[in-house]
Amino acid sequence: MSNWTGKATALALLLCSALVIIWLASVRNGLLFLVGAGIGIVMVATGIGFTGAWRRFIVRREPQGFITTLFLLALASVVFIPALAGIDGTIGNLAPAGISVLVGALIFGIGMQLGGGCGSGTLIGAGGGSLSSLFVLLFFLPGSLLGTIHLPWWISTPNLGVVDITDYLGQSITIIVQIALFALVGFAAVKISRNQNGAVTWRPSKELIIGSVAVVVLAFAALFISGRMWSITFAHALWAAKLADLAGVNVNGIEFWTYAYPANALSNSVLADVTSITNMGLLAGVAALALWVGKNKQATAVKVPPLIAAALGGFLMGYGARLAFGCNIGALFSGSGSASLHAWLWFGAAWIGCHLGIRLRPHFQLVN
Amino acid sequence: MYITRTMVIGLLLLILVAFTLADHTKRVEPDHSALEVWRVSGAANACAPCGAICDQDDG
Repeated sequence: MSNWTGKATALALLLCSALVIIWLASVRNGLLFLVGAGIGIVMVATGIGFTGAWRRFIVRREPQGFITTLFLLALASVVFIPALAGIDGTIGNLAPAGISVLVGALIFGIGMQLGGGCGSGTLIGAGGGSLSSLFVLLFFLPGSLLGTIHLPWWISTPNLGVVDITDYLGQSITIIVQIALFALVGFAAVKISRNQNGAVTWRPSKELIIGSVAVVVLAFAALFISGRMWSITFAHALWAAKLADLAGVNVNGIEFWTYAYPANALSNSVLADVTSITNMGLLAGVAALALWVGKNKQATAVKVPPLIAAALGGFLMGYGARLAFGCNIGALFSGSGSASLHAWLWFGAAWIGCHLGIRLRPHFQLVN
Repeated sequence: MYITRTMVIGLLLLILVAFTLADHTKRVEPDHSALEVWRVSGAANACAPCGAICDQDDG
């Protein structure tokens, strides 16, 4: 495929998909699709991501990528906590802080290192033509469906309920405290890295800073358009449930799918679900970028052990994300941006899970 | 065995389009009034993604 053909295909993929969504669903969802595409393109173009960045710090004490994710999270607090309070009709990602989040995020952390990508990273990888990420995505679905089956029991385990930190500290103090905590973690990361490696590059590059700002701006656009904070993994559970339903499984008999929001999403077209639309946009955006730059021509060898790790990682992430009420984006980025205490539990538990996952990677011929 | 990114992207888009069309066709009535109703209900997303939270809040 010549370069102009690739570029034409990329543009056609994005524009035609958006128009079809506008035609079949709504202008709102067509715009949301394009916002999702923008997020994917920005994340690939600037190299923002969680899984590899966290692993590079844990294994090699290279803090730059990890610091970038902390900057992204701090920026989300500054933007979204006031936005959620100030814009009518918007709703934050608040969830109960308890055992379910701790166990789910731990499992998710293991899975994201085995799968080589988190919720957004998996979509970016698959959209860019990574066979491993496609495996992760395919096995994410049954893991998510199993998570929805078990979630009612997990919710009944001990928890503090939904804790909105702004209820206790107010908006301004909450933002200051959250930024201070992210800065403290970042400071500790730099100190640990310096102790091991001496002088280290820790400041995010210009590209990473621009990328972080762009991601937050686009996530704000998603909030403004949909009224909801950016999420990813509910769509995986929904897709799994819809596929099971298409295959004749009685999904309506599962308690989770009788709850108001999931039942509504299940009974409507997938094109009506804002999370699905954003995910589809992200996939299409990254695929379009790969076609645009000609990256799609690259060939990779198919090796079985890494694909087993991808399948296992995807399944674990799917299950863990349901228990933890989301992934790095829904639970951590949007959760902390909503001042929900569960986001901080998620952060700690997923961090431990990442350490465990990194230990498992060499068993599947994955390089740390 | 080697596989190109084009093949993976093509397979992914094929699965996604087939799934979306199958689900959309099953869920949406083809007449205009039903589509309008669906649009309204589709826009009613004012709830947390886990769903369970809303149900708990609502008792």
